[in-house]
Amino acid sequence: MGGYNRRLRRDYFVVVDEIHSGMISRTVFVQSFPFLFATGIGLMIAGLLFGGLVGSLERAPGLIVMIPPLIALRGNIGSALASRLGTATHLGLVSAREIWNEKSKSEISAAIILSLILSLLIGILAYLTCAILGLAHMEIWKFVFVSSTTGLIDGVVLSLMTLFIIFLADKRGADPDNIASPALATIGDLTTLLILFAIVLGTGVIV
Amino acid sequence: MALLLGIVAGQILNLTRSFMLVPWILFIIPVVNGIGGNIGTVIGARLSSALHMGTMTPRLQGKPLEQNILTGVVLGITTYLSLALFSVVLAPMLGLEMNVDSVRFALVIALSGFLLTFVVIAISMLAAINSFKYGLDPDNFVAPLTTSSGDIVGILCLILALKVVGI
Repeated sequence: MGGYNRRLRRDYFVVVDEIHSGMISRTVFVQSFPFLFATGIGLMIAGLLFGGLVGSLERAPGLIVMIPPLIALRGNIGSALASRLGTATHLGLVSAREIWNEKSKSEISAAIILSLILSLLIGILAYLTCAILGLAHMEIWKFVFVSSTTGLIDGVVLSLMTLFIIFLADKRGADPDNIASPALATIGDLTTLLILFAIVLGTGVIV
Repeated sequence: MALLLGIVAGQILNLTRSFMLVPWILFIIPVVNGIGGNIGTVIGARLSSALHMGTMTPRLQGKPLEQNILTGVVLGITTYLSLALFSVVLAPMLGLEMNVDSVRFALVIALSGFLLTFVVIAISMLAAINSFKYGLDPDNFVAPLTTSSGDIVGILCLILALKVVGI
């Protein structure tokens, strides 16, 4: 029926057996599917909040343009931070005992500053592209306000969450690289959507 | 650079005005794009490790590549299918206002998901192989590239699925 495949895991020097059904790796499938499905459900629930945004979006022309980039920004900065903190943990620069030190502080401040600057950029770009394409748009300060506040709050909340997860993982003796990334991806998406939702709703009121 | 792709995705959403006609489109977008991104990065990470370890050559052929592609496709199809079915149950429970029947709703999720799976796997495969070929570390490129372009393609697939299903 199936083939039996052996793969050598470079980092742990342990032979991991993967079971294949025909050409498909059953191990990968069985490991990934539940998590993927759960992520999907979580995203759908978050998406529900999103649906409630339509009213605010109609009152704030051009706002919707910033939504995908802000989510993507969080994703990129978040995963970079998670992987850097994970590496730092491996190198012993950060640990459960020494979680709030020079190294982690500098990593987190870098992430927050990046989030702020890039989200500002997103606001400006969104405004410019709307203007150039001749689409309806609000004033530039509204764009920039929404994007930078979202970016800032998002950056702070997620950096702290990342640190917390790294802390938990290290405390239990687990490899942060394995635990942090997938957990953060899901939780990060949900949180970003929540923050975005709150800000857009607030903006809808202001606008 | 990933920012620019994100803005493009946002503008496409804006341009088509579809979010006005279909209030629940905003509900589907995070799911479709999110799962697409996950599948792309999972397969991309595996290809990346395989390239680093030497079990795979940076060319468009070979058993490890085919296995990963197939695994990714199966993963994508089953996940989107189950989510589509589940959403039919979930949406009314959570009071989502729907102006179409449940079959169409599930179909949109499933169709856009299936299409996106293929594209995303292709993108991650090309990103991994090409970055490795040029001496770069695929780990640095695969994730941002596939998620950002996957976002754009996801929205396009969604629009296509809506047209196909007749909305």
